Amino acid sequence: MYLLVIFIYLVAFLICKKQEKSKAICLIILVIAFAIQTYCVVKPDYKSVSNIITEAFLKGGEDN
Amino acid sequence: MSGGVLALGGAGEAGRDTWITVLLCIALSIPMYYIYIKPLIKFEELNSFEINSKLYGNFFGKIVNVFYTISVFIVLFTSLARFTWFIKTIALTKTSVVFIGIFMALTCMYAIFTGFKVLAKFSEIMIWFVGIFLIFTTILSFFSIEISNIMPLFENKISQLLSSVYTSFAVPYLESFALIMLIAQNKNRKKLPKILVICVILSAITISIIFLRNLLLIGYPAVEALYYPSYMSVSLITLGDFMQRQEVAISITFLVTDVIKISVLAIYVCKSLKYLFKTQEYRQFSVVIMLLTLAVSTLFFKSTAEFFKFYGIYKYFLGVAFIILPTITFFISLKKFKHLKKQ
Repeated sequence: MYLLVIFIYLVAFLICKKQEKSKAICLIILVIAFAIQTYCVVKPDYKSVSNIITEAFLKGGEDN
Repeated sequence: MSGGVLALGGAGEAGRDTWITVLLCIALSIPMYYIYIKPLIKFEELNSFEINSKLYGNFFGKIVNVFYTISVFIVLFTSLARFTWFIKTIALTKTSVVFIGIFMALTCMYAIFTGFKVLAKFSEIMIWFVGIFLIFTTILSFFSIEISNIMPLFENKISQLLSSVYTSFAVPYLESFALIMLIAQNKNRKKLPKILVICVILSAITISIIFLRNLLLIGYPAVEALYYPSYMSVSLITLGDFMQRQEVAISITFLVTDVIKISVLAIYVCKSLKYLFKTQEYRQFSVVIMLLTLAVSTLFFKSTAEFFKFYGIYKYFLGVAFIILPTITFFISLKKFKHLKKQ
């Protein structure tokens, strides 16, 4: 699974490298996406962001 | 943009009366869409990003554009997650969502590369299939429906009805903000109000029929309790030994409509990046934006239950992003236009 993710990002990196003006922006976004994806694949027991937001929202409602 | 509702088709806070609240939300959608398109009609030569810069000034205009882009991006990854978790729940239960999402992302990347016009042509063709399927399943469901499932009518309080009207309004009408901003870049903007009114009425009737079909087929508690009532209800439709298990058509419909929806949202984000970073083409961002969408949707949701839990608060976020700020923009545009006219 992780190998497939690396392959996809490698192809995306090569596509982004070919671009002229927006190369830097594309590469920054790609690095961010790859970092997030790596975190999700390597650490499968992570707490999802939606869960954190929903809990905070519901806790706020209870406090009120 | 109503594609997600086709597959979900669940009840709102009004329970059995959701089909009525879907029709009532027309009264909210038409004024809201008027607020969206009025500035675009007033400043006919500018696109939505340029209008924000003109109305709020260069610096604040960019902040407003970034806010809209982030908001549309949230709708984008939520739409992708809705599709991937749908496929994982109903068919590929042991496959990773990343794996399902990669194929969806690749399809959308290609759709973005082909451009908005090709996407519009594609949706023009596919709407016939979706329409025929809807009519087909609705007619076939007449053999299996239980009319008493609709009763009792109006058993809810006014507050529950109003809350349900807002929920029906938020998804999919507020989600359509990006689509309206993109179609409004067409030079012939004066025809837009008429087109949008027809679209809103047609989609409200369609969603209402879908909910009624689900309610009459599987009954009230089930239509609220299930994650995908449309899928469940269509699986019950049989025509003797001749035809059964048509729920695969729900998956195909959802796939087609979601490819269009995700691509439209991604095009908006790419065009916004093009405007912000002053590059020549928006297509070059398609690869990175779709991969970022996939990564964020994986980080955001870990299960179908978590997704639907988040869906409960998602409508409030849509309200902040696509009601408050566009209304402010509308009033500023009226004031600015009057000022320009005086000069």
